[in-house]
Amino acid sequence: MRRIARLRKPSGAPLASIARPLCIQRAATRPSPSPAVQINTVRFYSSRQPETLPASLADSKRAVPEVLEDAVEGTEVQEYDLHPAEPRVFVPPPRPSVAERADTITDNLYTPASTAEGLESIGNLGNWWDDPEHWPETSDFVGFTPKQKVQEPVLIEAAVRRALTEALVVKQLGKDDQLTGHWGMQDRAQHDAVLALGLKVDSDGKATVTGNLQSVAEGLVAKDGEAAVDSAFALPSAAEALAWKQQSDHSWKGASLLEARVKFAVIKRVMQLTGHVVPDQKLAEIATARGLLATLQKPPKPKTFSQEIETKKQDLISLPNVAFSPKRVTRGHKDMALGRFKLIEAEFKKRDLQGGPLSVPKSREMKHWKGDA
Amino acid sequence: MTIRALERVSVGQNGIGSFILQCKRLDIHYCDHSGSSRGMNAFIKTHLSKFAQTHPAIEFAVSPRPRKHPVMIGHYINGRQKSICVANMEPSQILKKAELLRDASGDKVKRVNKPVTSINESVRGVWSPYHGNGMAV
Repeated sequence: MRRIARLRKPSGAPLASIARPLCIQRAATRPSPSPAVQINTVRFYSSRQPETLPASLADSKRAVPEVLEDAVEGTEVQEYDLHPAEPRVFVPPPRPSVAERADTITDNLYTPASTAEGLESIGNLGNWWDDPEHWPETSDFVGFTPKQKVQEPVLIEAAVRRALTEALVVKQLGKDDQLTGHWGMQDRAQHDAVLALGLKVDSDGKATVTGNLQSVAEGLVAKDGEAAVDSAFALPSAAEALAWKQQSDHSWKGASLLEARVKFAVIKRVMQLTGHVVPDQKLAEIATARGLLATLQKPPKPKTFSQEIETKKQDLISLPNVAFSPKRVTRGHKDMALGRFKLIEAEFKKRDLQGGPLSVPKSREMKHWKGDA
Repeated sequence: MTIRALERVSVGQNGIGSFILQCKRLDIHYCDHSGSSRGMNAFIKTHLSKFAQTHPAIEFAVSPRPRKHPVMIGHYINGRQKSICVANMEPSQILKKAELLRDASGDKVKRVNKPVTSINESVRGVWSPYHGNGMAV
């Protein structure tokens, strides 16, 4: 599988000279993904070994430093280590060699070839991206939001309160540039410290944070190379969050989010903490923290009608004369309801046959459709 | 002497004395995804709860039947069944069909081509050539 799309085109600079060094430099600062991300990531490599590489790629180890030599002067080429012990970035393919034009050759003995036989093949990447060494798992994309969304309403509320407090702290200290910056996930102690800060909201929705603002603001700035998503960060349990909610005052939910930079900072931070992305069409109508909470805490839409009945129509299901089944009722289920199924199973067993309609194995084709062998 | 049969004292009629609903069970099948079940799904959400509450003598079995049209099947105490496909119907139409199944006796549908039917015996009686004094021709 070829992954040519991973090569990004640098803007502004000449392509031939600095395209790859820039690419390497950018990728080198990329954070390493969390272990959970690695497990969830499915990668497919070709089982075929690259048999014949094009001539332009045949001596890749020699060719890569050549590319780096072409880099613009002043670029710190010596910092790049293209083959480290544990590579964190992909290895770009070497620069393709270009054949000399026939009309510029001065050698009198040169005669142009009339057939392709015996000529070197140049011009494609071969199976470069099929080699795991050129594309290690650690170089995979790491997103900004965590893969698992937080669904507990109490935890979402705690996250919104934290995001709002942090954004207001930065705003109060006059560090407006930080509102759009990269904030680290921090540890649990910092999480509790932020929630412990006081938040007073007046009748206009203007909120003021009280407490040790400086330490919170300092801890907020992400360190160099820190991942946006940190799997080591442990959210409080639902019981802990519930205890916090019962103790805290709910007036903070009236805090205004009309200021665009604060709103952006809060929504970005909530996205980072909970994995919930606020849809664009909802952004305009969110004016307060309460509005944001209402958007996030909305339970997810049921996937099927059966699920909807199970969750929302308890008045129907709980009636004594109504039997609801979320799955198809088969002949076997009817036998079970009558108490006949045990007898059928026993008779099947006596004759060394399969155990009734419910024990029929799934078709083998099903496996093939799913891509299994 | 003519033979006389035992006189029937009364004829059993449902509703005189007590009424027993003939429909004992109603199976309601729907599909989660198909468009033909849209009306049926709305019926389950809006009408079924009230309908089931008002008919405690009927057992309602609601279950999906994937990739099939929605169906209502009535089971009757005479052992027979009556099923109605309610694909693409509105919830109000489906409610009418549910009432039809509830009111049905479960018997086969018979053709009625006499203007009057009665369960009472004829006052005149049935003529028999073997009984009576006979008639001189």
